[in-house]
Amino acid sequence: MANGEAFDHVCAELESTSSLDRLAARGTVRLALKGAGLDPATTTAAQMRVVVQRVLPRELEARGVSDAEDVCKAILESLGSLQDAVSGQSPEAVFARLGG
Amino acid sequence: MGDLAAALYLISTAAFALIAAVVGIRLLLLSRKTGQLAERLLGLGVLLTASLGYGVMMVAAVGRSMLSDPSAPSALYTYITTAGWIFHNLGVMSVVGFVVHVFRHGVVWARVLAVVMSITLWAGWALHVFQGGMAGQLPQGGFWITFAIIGTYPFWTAIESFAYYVRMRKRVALGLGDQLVANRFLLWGIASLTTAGSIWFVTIPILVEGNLSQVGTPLSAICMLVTGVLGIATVATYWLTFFPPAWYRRQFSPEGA
Repeated sequence: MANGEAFDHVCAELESTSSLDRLAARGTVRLALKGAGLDPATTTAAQMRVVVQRVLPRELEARGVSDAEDVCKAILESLGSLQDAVSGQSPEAVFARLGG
Repeated sequence: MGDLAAALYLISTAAFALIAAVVGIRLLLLSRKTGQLAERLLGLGVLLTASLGYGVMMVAAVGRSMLSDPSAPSALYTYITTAGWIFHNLGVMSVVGFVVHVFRHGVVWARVLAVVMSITLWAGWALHVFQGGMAGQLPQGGFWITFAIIGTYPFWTAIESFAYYVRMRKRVALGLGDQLVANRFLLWGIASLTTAGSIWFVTIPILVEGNLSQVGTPLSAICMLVTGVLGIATVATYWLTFFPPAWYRRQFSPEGA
């Protein structure tokens, strides 16, 4: 999973399981990813799981979403079935190879 | 002080060229194994700029300075200098290509900027050749057009590396990244800055006094000394980036952290 598929998936789930509209849902997920040093276009499902567990709850609470923990649990379950394609093109993957 | 500065400058440049050759060849061998363009571009960039480019130009500069009249035209050193410049400029294009491919893949403004930089680099160099730059004439307009690229492209590399290092630190804090890999972005950013520093300091005497070979002047001696120190810092940083020794790796392991 790449090219923003994990991002789109989480945004859609957040929109359907919370009081946030589409724009607010996408903005919130973007902020969560920025806080984790990730880019929406390249974030994998595995990385997204960590963000949903550890960063997204406080972003939702900051926006007044009362059931933030439950929303994140639902999103996490929906992410469970998604698989990642292995990418050797990201800067992180390239720099990991450079040092042997 | 002038002789010491010149000696340090020559030694550090030779060490820089040698280490760059080792790094460049290693990266090219890695690219053969992985089939990836990123390491091929960086390998060519390091090998062509630092090793073949500066190395060959240094041979020409030293050889020319040993002539009875260094300002007299010498076909041999003109050819050697020309070869060094061509290697160097191709290397600059490879490094810029690496930055675009790795950090700005598919981003239109980055591609356009890379093309503009390449055209400016070669156009300025062609003018520098026409103005007698390869034959040891004092740098004129063509040199400074070329320098506009040579003196700035490492900053692009540094900015991208430092920005990615900041992102990697956030990932590491969440358990999403490797500390050693994150540190590699920091090192590559530092190496880019020390490279830029070397390029700028070695050029100051050319700007102020017109000729680097006048090592007797205090300004030239100071600039050579600083360039030499920056060259050694670059070499050390390259080594930690591409050949991190066990003691350095341990700093970033869970036990060492």
